[in-house]
Amino acid sequence: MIILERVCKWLPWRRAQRTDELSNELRTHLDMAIADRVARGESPESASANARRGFGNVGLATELARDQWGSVDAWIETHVARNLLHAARRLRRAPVFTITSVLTLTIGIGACALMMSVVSTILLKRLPYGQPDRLEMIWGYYPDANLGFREQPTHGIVFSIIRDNIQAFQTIAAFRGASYNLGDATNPERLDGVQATGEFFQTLGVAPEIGRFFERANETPGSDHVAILSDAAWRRRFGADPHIIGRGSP
Amino acid sequence: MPKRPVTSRLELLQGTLDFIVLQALRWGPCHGYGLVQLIRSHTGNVLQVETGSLYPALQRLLRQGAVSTEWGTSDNDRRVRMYRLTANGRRRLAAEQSRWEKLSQAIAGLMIPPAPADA
Repeated sequence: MIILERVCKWLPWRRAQRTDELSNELRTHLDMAIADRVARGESPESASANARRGFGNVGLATELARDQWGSVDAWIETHVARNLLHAARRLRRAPVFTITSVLTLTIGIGACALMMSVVSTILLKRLPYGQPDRLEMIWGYYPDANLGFREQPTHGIVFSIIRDNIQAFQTIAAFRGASYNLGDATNPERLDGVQATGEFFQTLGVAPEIGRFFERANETPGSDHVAILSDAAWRRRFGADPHIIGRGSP
Repeated sequence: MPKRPVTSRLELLQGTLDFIVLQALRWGPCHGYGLVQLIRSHTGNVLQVETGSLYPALQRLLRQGAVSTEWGTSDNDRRVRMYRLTANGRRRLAAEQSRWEKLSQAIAGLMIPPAPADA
């Protein structure tokens, strides 16, 4: 508590406030001296002049009084720096202990930070969609598949059956990762993407910035030449061209 | 606080001034101007404490916790900062007092002319 009070006392605005109080105090002192001289019969002008002469330099007096507070630097020097220096010397004298401690702390703190960032991203942070608490992932259940996990991605036929029969969800969509070639032989690019069924974006609850997302109708072969560009790809590859909608991709 | 060389040379002087201020505050809470008047009248106009010394002394005593302050009103309705002796200040005063008595006895001893040697 004492330490806290001390630190608070040196906060800049506290210091400014104390300086203010001090100069008020000194001014009052001067006023009283003048008033006393006037009461003893001096003229106001000569009282003021004489009192000021007796008083000396107001600024200097304030300065001298403030010197007694000490400075933050001096406080840090005595209370913090000296202890730190002492600690550093002790540590240097016991290198094995120091290295062990530093390594333990480094690994410990690193592991905690890593764990926390993983937990925060995967478990704590909500998904960046409209109603993330109403999004569910449906897994296939294959007890005999011996693939490490019994929950596995399922396949198209199963998805159609699920989509046609389950009433619990507003929309259901399937997706899988895929890679695509973009551009031509002179300027090719390999893009990571996702193949998805019609209501994919509707299920996530997102809206396109321009144009439209694909629909159930685009699932039929022949009408499935539809692509949706990420904002990053649109800017990098197409210079954020707003008239890109409907253009065929090379 | 690391001592600047000037500080240690001034220590005796400051110690005396602090002692005088603490003595003056024994009469009750007082503001800075009052202290100057008090010290002057109690020493038969001999000790004239300058503001440039008084306020640093008061800030020093304040930091050491020997005095406390509060804003009050003077006899003629001025807003003034009143200084008050704390329990800590009283203890310090008692200690300084015995030190001072020893010192003044020692000096008084020097003043007395040596007794003539017994013949």
